Amino acid sequence: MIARGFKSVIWVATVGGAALCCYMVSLRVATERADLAKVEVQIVTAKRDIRSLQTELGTRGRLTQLEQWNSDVLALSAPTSAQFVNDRVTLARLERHDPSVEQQSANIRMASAEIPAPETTAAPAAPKADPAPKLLPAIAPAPATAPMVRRASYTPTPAPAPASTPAGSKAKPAAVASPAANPPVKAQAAASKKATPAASVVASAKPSTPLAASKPASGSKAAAVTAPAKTPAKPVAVAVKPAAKKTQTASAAPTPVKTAKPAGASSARASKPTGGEGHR
Amino acid sequence: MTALAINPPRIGSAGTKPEGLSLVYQRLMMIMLVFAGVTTLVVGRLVFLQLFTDRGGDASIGNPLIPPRADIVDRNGVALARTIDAWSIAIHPNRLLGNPDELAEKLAALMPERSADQYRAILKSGKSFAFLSRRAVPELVAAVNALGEPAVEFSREPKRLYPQTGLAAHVLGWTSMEGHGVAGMEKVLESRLSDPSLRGTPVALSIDARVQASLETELAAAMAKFSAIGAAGVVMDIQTGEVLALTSLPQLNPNAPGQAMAEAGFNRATLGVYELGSTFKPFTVAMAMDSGIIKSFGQMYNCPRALPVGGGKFTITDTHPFGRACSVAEIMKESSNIGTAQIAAQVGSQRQQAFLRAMGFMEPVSIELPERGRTLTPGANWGDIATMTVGFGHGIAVTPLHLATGYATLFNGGIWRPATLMKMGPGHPIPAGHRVFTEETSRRMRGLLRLVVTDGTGRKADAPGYRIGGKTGTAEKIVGGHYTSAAVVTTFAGVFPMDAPRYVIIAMLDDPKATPDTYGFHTAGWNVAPVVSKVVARVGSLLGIAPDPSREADMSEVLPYVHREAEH
Repeated sequence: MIARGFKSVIWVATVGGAALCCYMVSLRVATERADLAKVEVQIVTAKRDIRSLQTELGTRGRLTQLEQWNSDVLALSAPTSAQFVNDRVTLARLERHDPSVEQQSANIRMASAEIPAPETTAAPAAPKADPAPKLLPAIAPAPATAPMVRRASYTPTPAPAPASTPAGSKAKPAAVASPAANPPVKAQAAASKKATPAASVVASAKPSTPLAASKPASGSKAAAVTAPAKTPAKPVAVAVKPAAKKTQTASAAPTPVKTAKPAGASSARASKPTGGEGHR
Repeated sequence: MTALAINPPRIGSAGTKPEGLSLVYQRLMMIMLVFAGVTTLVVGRLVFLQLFTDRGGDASIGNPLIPPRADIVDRNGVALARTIDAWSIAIHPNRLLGNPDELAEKLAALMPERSADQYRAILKSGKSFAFLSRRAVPELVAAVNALGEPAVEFSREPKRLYPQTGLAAHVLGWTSMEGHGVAGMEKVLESRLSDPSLRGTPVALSIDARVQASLETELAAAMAKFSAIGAAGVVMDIQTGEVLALTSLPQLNPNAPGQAMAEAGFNRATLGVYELGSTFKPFTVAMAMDSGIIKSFGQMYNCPRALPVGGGKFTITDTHPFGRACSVAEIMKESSNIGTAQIAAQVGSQRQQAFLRAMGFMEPVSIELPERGRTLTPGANWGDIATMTVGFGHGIAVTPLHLATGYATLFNGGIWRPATLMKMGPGHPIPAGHRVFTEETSRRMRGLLRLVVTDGTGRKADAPGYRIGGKTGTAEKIVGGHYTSAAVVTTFAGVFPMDAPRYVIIAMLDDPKATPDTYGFHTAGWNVAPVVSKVVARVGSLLGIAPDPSREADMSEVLPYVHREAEH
């Protein structure tokens, strides 16, 4: 009975609830709409700003102003008819052909003038000028020896001095043997030049760092240096002999120019085993 | 305890329980109904609002983007006129709190367009409202606001702004303070620009801002160089009649039309009429060709040093007299008055008038602008002498735009079309026009006018590669009722490219003076022809004409008749 009595109440509550739900939905929709309107207002404001900024930009960059800047600062002028290209053929004609590296290097020639001995140059300088300049290819390997020669600056001062004199006779055979082993004659000039300063440096060399220098030095003088460096420390009779031979060649270098380098090269092979022996 | 004490009355009323209960139910139901009714009312209202509320907000949101007056743009969409919200500064003198003398001094310092006394007069007038500045920049508004006078009022009101300032000022015209067009296209398009349904879309004119700027710059430079009192220029598409540039110097700034000189308000290109001199000669030759009088440019005329006409009352002279027989090509090349007068005499007064009428030279020029000058013609005195003088451009005064339309007619195949400032396109079709010259005449005239530029008086108008053809014109001005050689109007009417004509360009200088550069000459070939050369070199490629030195107009019909002269 109570249920029947409350039936209408329940109905009303249901309807009321439904209506409330509807209201909630519509409220939600209204909120969304309001947000949308807000965005639309923002869009309109942005558009209006864009318009006013465009106007300002257009006014500041008006053609008369640009013209004035151009006449005052830039000084640009209209392109002339020569600057227009009307067809492909004319355009193709504008292409500049830059020669490639190979083409450029093919044209490069190195000239070296062989200066004859002083007595010949004295009298007939003019007639001999013609045959003298020789054209040589650009493959001059001489510089390769340069670093080797330079590293030969380490030589202990006291050791070689006494050893050099007896070994002097042995240096010669080494020099004779070497030209056969080293055919490139062009290297000689470079070697001879560097040999002279190297010999002078020998005097001021420090014996403190012999190991570091000896390792990379596959060349002549470095090897020559290592051996004497150890000689003062351990004066072994076997080691001293070849070592003395080398140092002697280095110091003797200034006078026999041609022998300097090959001698070093041949002695380098000899020096390493001696150095090793010295340690053992 | 208390509960027990209360209970007895309840128990006492137990006898009336059934009626009481139903009464309670009834009352409860009533209250329920009231609640339900209120809820229904609320829901109903909500539904009603939801369904029937006018969402006018959307429309009001869209509105701010539609300007109160439509924009005017050029043919490429560059803004020429816009409406912006400008600050205006006003004051209520009757509500003034501060000291008017002090305020007047401060206002005069901030806005020097009026003196302190004038501001004092305004402040002490006791009026309820007065404008101090109608178009103030935000900085000025901030500065005036900082004075702290509560009687000063700031508001924003729509203002017409011309971003390009003086560019095409005479074409655009300007508006009054109330925002109504009072001159130029602003006046012509008043209803279109303020139509609420069309305000959103800008109006496109046929003007090309770049061409306009080039023409104005070069003309202004020439005007300054030769100390001319004025200048005018027109660039026009010869096929459609669209005016790409139209200028009149001295210039005025439509943003502040009131500050300009009275002289600047005068549009020389459409309102001013001038005797344009030798630029008329091609018309005379074309008339004679159409009438069958001239069959070849090799036709010979006797060209003495002076030609007495009207029974010896007047004498026609030349600046470069031939003193011998000369061909039509030579007459045009050296701009011979004597030769042209004889051709004009052969054409005759009636035919000349008919041709000029067909070209619109007898009435104000046909263009949208309200500022159009009435042409001056011999009228009733159009006898033989008048026919001869009109033949070489004297005794008839037209506007430079007339001349442009005439040259367009002569070189577009012979069809006259009105000049227009509206961009052609949908809604603005190319008018049909009417035929004035035959196509054959139009074609053959190309070589003749190209000859003037390659070999004749207009050599300085040539821009390499652009194949300009044209005619110089130097006309003496009437000062005090007499022609005087001291003051002249120099004109160059050119067409380019001459092998397939597309654009006509007119440049005119009013009273240019001779300079050391020109060796003392003040003729058109020296002062105004270089303007045409410079303008064409600047705008030619913009207008889609690539300069091509390998192309040239067909001059096979004219060159044989001048080479002979060169051999003499």
